[in-house]
Amino acid sequence: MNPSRYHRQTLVKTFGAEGQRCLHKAHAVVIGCGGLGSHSASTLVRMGIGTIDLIDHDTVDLTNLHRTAVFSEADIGKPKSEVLAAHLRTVNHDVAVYDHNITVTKENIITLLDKASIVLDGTDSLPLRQLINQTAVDLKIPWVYAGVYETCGMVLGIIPGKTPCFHCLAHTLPEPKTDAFPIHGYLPQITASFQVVEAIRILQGKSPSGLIIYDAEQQRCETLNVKRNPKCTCCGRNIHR
Amino acid sequence: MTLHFTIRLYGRYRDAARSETITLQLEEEKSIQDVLDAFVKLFPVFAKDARHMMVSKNGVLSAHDAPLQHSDQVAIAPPVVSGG
Repeated sequence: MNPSRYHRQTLVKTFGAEGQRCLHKAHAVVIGCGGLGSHSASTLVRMGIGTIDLIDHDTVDLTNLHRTAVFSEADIGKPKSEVLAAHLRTVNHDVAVYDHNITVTKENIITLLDKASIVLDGTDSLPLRQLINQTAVDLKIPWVYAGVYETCGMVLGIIPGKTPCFHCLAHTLPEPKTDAFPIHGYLPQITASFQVVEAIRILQGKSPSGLIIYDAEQQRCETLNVKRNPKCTCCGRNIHR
Repeated sequence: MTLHFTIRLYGRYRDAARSETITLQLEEEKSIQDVLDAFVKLFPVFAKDARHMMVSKNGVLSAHDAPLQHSDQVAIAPPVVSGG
């Protein structure tokens, strides 16, 4: 690691050289390399994450380009994870970047996550998020949920056993629509930045902030506290340990 | 007794109301679900969201069956689940 590369962010008092070392030692897994995942991965690689796995089974589409990082018209039809990884390797050769052009399933998720220090959610599937959550709770791996729609973004950092898990609030969330949903081009980048902030806070041993709701139309950001659900069928069984 | 609740709205709910807040009138102290029912009555287009609306009471994400008191601050946000 060339320390001069990160000099300016190590000048940030709440981060410093210790924060940089912490980031360098960390292993992030980004599931979904679309609007959210491409921006989150890009920021983490630029900031000096040690290792990153990029997972997506989809290919780049023309309709992705207004809101994703990195992808160009020349990438249309190519696997998102491979294109993103190839680009990010040129951004920062200090980072070990691995791409996985696969679908995450209950059969492979433990193998994909078991070395992770942090998992970042860029998926658009509620069942997959529940699978990530269950696995993260079982393996005690922190993860950061993020979602976007129209002009609103939401982010929730989750530390299994310490903070509410996704299932504590998932009963309030519907399955995403599979058809084209409305979304402003700027929103995933903003929301991904909040997601990365939460990930780095967690890696530094800080507590997650709560459920962050960013409303771009009003330029308003609000953080709601979220309480663990003692009856949660995922993490509730461990709540009194 | 009739009570008035000022509800803060996010995203497409705010857009539909053309206001950051709306005031709902309830006959007596009830639950968050009663606020949601009154909101959907005003904006039937969101009826399909009703089960999934994210509601905070005094800054804490709350279950829909949580009781409400007159002094409670309530905000309603649409569910946000897409990955971009």
